[in-house]
Amino acid sequence: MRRHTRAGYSVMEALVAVGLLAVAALALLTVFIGGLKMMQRSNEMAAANDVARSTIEAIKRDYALYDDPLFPVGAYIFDGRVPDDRYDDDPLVDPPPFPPDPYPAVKVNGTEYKIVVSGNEEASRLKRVKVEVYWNDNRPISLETLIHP
Amino acid sequence: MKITRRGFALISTLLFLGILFMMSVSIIMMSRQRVFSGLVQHHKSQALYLAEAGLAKAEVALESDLKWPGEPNGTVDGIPGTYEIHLAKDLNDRNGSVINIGTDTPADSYRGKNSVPKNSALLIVTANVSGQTYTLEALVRGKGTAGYMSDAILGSGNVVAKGNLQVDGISALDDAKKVDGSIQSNDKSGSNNVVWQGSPGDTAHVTGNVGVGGASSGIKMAGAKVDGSFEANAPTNIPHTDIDSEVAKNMGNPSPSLVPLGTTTLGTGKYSSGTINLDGDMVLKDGAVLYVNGDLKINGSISGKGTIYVTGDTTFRGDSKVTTNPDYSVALYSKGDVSLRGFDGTAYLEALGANVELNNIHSALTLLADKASKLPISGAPYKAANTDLQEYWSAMETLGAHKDGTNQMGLLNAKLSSAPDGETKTFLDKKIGILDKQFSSANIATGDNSNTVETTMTAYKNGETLGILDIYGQLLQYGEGDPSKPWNMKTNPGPKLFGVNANDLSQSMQNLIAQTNFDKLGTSYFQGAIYTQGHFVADNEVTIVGALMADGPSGGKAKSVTLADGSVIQLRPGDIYLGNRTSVTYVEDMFKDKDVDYVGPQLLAKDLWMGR
Repeated sequence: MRRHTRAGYSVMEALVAVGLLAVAALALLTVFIGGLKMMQRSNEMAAANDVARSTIEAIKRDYALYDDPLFPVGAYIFDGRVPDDRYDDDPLVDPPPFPPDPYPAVKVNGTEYKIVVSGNEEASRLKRVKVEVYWNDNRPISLETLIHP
Repeated sequence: MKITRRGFALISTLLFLGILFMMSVSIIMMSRQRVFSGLVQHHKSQALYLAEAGLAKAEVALESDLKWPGEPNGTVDGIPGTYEIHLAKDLNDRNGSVINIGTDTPADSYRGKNSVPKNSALLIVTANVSGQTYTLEALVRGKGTAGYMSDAILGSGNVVAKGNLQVDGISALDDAKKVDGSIQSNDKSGSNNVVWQGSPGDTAHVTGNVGVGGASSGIKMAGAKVDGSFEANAPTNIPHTDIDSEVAKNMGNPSPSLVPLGTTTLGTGKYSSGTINLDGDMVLKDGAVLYVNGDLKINGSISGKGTIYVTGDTTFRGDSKVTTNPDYSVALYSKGDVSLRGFDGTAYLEALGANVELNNIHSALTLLADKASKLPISGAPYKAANTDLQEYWSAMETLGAHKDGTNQMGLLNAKLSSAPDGETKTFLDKKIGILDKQFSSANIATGDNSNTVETTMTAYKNGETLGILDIYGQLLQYGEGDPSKPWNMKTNPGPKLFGVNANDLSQSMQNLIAQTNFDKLGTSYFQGAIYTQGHFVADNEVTIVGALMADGPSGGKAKSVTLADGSVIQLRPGDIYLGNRTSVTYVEDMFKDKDVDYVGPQLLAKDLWMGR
């Protein structure tokens, strides 16, 4: 009888173990997947940060190199999330796209980053530029600076 | 010993769970680390751009104030974090900035001796965002005195132009490629900021933009042709030039040898002086630079090639033709007001000692104006029997009629002959000659010179006023001669003379008397720029090949200015008033990236920058 009971313990033991394993594995798997997602988001954020930086640098380069920069005078906003029909028209007639590459969106490792650039004249000879980068449904990251020619 | 497997499954499970737990923990740690480093990277980027923003603000501040003290706890709206820029305390201060703009010798910094070139600044900005710091080091260079000008006419106050107005631009003096010529007023009031008032037949053409610092309601250019656009809320930066410092540094130069009433010639070189009030002409020879610690007033012509610095007001009464020294882009720097007015002949003649003659002329003109206002003079048409007529003739004789050499015009001419030769003397000589004719042209002794009378009156009806003052007196005095003549006062009494309405004649005579002066509206030509920190007012026709800029301090008090036509206007520092025909041609080459030595705030450009 005791043996029988012991044998039952074994089964119970196995069941408990399996149950524990299932619960714990599920929990840990969730954590594991969450961690992986967090890593992915972190990678995406780093990529978005790079996109924002390269966009600001492109605008600065444009501003420094050309007497008549491509980006307009005064307050403006170019939203990469909104289609810009100027790209579809005649490039000889229409104004050039703004800002220079990589506007309005860029793909990094299969993820599309949409760029929103806004600016205004902070003061004479002082332009404010703000670059926001959106991807998937994440909160955008933004970089902002002032440019002096 | 019996081997049992009891507990093995549990142990295995726990072991497996332990491994899974450790993997999860390490994944969490890794992802946390990644997230953290991603955030750090983002904050580092934010710090970089905050530092760049701080540098940009510092450059803008330095463009207008070389005594800018730094920014120990700077922030930029909308950007998290703080930045700091401080001036170097000593050569070991690795984060200390060195401002060496406006100098012509290099300066030391923590980087070593003479490591900051002349007319440059080493700016070091340290920004901190969420604990992440970024230090940016930049070498910025002054772009030259006049690099700041991109408009043909630029005022911190209002810009008002009357008469014909032409504003255009060329690429360089030797390259007529057209560039925009723009007008800019930084006034933000939105009321009468850029105004053109043309008379019928006048035209205005601006090939560039017309901009104001406030609302577009401040632009009143009806009837003007503007090729560019009207820009509202678009103030332009006006760097402040430290004229006091420039003059103070150069006060050790020789004083100019002034030639009162004659021609003062400044040869190549630098000159310094206190206030100059010169009746006479001035010629700047090639390269002459004149530093005036006080006011500069020239009542005569000024011409030549050179540059002038004035810490007070600058007044040119007469013709001006100044071409800038090739080493500079500005022909005239004036801390106070700039006036380009007509020549003041009375002041010149007073300086010659002709006060008595001038007073006599003034009294005679006053009397004559009074009599002319009462035309036709009533009573007997004979001098002996008519007091008014006696006085009329007395005034005429005082001025010029029939007493050559002994009348006041003749005496004035004698005084003028003692003045040294020059443009002004030549002008006055001609002018007094014309006035003398005005009062003595008919010169008829008997009243029977019908040809002269008839010719003069016929000419008057055709718009010529010369001689009518004299002729009218002649008519009154001797008009009874030939009863068949239309000017016979007995047969043709009343208001009509030669078919001329006496009231019209009276008005013409009064106008003629009122216009009798020794002054002259002049023309002003500047090749280079005019820069003032006061107001700018011109009665003269003004031609500027370069640019015109009035950089007045905000809140400056308005002054009353009497114009040539007698009207009075109020002008604040920074206001520009162009009262006559004006032409300004902006020369891009003079003001763009010109690398000239200069000692004042100026546009800055980054030569080198690096992060550390």
